[in-house]
Amino acid sequence: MNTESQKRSKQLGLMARILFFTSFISVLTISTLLFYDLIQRTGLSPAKWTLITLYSVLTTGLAFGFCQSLFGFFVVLIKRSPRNISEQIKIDAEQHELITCSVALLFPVYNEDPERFFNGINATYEALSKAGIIEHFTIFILSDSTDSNRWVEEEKRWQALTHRHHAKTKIIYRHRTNNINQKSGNVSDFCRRWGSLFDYMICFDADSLMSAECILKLVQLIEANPQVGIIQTAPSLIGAKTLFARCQQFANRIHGEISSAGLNFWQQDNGNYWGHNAIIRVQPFIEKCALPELPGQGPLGGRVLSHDFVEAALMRKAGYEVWLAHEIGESYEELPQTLLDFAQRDRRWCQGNLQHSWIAIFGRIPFLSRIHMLNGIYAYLAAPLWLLFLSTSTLIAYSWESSGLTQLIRPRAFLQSPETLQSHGLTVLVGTLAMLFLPKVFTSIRLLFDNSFRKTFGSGIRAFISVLGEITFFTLIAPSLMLFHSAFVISTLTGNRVVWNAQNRGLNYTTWITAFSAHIGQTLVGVFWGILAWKINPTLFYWMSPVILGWLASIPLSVISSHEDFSEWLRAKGFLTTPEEISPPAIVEKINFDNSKPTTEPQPIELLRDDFGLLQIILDPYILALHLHFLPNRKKQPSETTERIRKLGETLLSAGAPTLSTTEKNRILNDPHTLSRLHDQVWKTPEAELPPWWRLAINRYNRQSSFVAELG
Amino acid sequence: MEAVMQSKAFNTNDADSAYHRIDALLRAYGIKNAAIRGHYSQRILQEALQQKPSSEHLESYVAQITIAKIRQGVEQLATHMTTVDETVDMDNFYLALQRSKIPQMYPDVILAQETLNQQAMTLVRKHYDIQATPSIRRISMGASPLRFDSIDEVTGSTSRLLKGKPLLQILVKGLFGLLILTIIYQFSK
Repeated sequence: MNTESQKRSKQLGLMARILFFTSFISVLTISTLLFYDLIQRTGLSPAKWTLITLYSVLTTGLAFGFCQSLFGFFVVLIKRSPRNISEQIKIDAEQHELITCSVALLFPVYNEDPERFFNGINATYEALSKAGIIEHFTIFILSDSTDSNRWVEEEKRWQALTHRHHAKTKIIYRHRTNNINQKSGNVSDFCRRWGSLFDYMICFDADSLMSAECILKLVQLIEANPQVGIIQTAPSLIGAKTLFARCQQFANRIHGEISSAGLNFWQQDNGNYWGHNAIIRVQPFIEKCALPELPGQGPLGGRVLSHDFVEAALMRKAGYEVWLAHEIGESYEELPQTLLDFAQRDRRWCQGNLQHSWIAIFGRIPFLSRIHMLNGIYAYLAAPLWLLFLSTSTLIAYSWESSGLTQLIRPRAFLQSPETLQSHGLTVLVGTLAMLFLPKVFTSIRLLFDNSFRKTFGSGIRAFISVLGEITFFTLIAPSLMLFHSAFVISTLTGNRVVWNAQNRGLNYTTWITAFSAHIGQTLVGVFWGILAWKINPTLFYWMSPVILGWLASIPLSVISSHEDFSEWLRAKGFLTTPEEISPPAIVEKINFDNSKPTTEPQPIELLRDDFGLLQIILDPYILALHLHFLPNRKKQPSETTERIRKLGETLLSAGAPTLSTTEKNRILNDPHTLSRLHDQVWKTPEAELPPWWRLAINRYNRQSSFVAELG
Repeated sequence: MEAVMQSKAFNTNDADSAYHRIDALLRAYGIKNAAIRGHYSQRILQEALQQKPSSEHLESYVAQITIAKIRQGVEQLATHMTTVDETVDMDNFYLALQRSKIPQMYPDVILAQETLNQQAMTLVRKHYDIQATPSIRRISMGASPLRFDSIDEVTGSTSRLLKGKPLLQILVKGLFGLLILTIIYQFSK
């Protein structure tokens, strides 16, 4: 792009931003003033001022999302964007000789399902090999796994993968002894050890997937734009099995393009990074994107949990551009299957986002990066504010009803407001609902007029019915999520943890007991509030009925939406299906096929299942050799440490693995001398002298022929 | 062998346990064929009984012999694979043996120190090379520390700003206090 066209592009981009923020402020101002005028017509009080303030804050998010969808809709409709990284150069997937750089593909992993994880790596490797560009890429498996079973299986699968592809120097496995700073620390460790050897790195999540064409386009884009630090793709969701996941997946896919286009409309070269499915220029990342230590202690202080937003802000601060390449497709990630899995994930994200308050308010970062962080904070803070809004509304209604006074309606403050109170109220309601639901209407209009878009979803009618279905589903789920998020925010701010006692160990769905344990509080809130609202005024009850219904139905919704049967039936009938399911791209087909294959790993009996990894390392000489292959050779170790680990080894031998904690087992697993010694000792100890656990281990391992040498 | 078995110190249960221990070890090290395992289990047991006629601690003793034999065989094989100057990483070598199915197809090479044919040796070498950790240079890049405003710095900078203006300091504090009082008053009305 020449200087003149760059200048023109920047001017166009500036106009787009001015237009966007002017529209946003206008919509917000009009909504707030309308609401204020409505409230003041029935008299003002501190509670009503609170209501107006809350409405104003809540409408900020609504108005922002609405404007984003509106401009995204226009961009998608006219197929033009004021500034778009993907349009800057002509990308030709065939022109892979344009690549001259070296790229690291990072696959950080922490106790994930090794089978799915390695299937993803295998699919990526094969896709790049088939495209003829593998020589530019090196895969790094960065393991922080603390579960010995997962750890051992990762090592075994790495060995199988490298041998299958003769991937000498192409697939590197590294296990960290100490997972300091979690994922960001994991990536930092890569940067410290190997970062200088690579021009760019692409981060994957454990469930991420990107086709070779997508990866190639990202590389070509960042190569052609030396001023760019990060290019983020807009991943589509895949892998939905349950009704909950299916609704999410469908909503992401059908509304995602408009949303991403709108996001790019205002953020342009000041985009955000979501932690995966993005390409990063390594040098500035190492030099400029070291995460700060936040003041104070956790949960809001200390180490940054949600590192991605901060790294994007730091990259921008360093003068590099951060873009969302929303038009590059074939970038995917999987999603939580149940409402409770989703809520548990949100629990972590809530803390990470609230931590950004320090940086958003006090950090010296670009203004638009601040907006990204505030959006992230708002996404969680809105829940308790909405709850407060409902509480204040109920309190005001109660105060009024209990006063026994006659309503005196005051005249409107602004001439532009509707004349009667009823029409005024209706206008405010319609306006609020419009901001909420018009983005869905935009998608429906697009389904109607955009043939190519409609065809990707199979039938337009089924897609439209599916849109109505997912709107209904999420309207019912939203009150439940509101209470979850409120609990997360309050617990984060007060330094407490929200814990669910019931666990769905080994099950793919939410049981009634688990749902009861997680949602009983919400159901009781629904019962209490419903009775209170009805007693105050039946009209109030009717206004609040969608929210109350959501709370009352939270338990059955959680259970029903976690099952696969109904979801499968809907998919078979063509409802809530995405283009990736109707006509799967090669890489999605590959991963689906590999994931459907039965596992070849030995399945231990339940008594040995928890420590099968540890058992394998000690009994099987080849798994031991493989594990020792990865352990660093510590020449110097304090004698106290050596002695402590030796004692742990003795306890393991004399009492079995269940007597040790996870930390103790991992200490043994990180000590090559102890492991070698234990291997010899276990085999040389007569059976009568072994504890029951080891006797069972040797007998079962022997009988099931689980030895790697036999399986291999 | 029979003489040993008939001696008073001999216990058939111990011998059974010892036999099974050898079998399990051979299986662990990749000797897949049951007949070959049986043959070597008997040989090792015989050897153990001849060296140690009492069946006390027999299981432990046969395990020691078996592991020693296997390791000796593997080490000998390693010396044949490599040049004089080359140091063999034994963990990698074990893995290379497992991958090339040497214990499975050529158990006598491991247990009886027989010579491995050239083709098989080449296969072992190939798997050994694949198994080797790639030597990617490690260079510590470090990262320059980045300054970030902390709450102390913000409050500190505000104090610095108001330092020369005591009237302004009082005014700011006064306004803040008045705001709090107003909110409390409004809500308590």
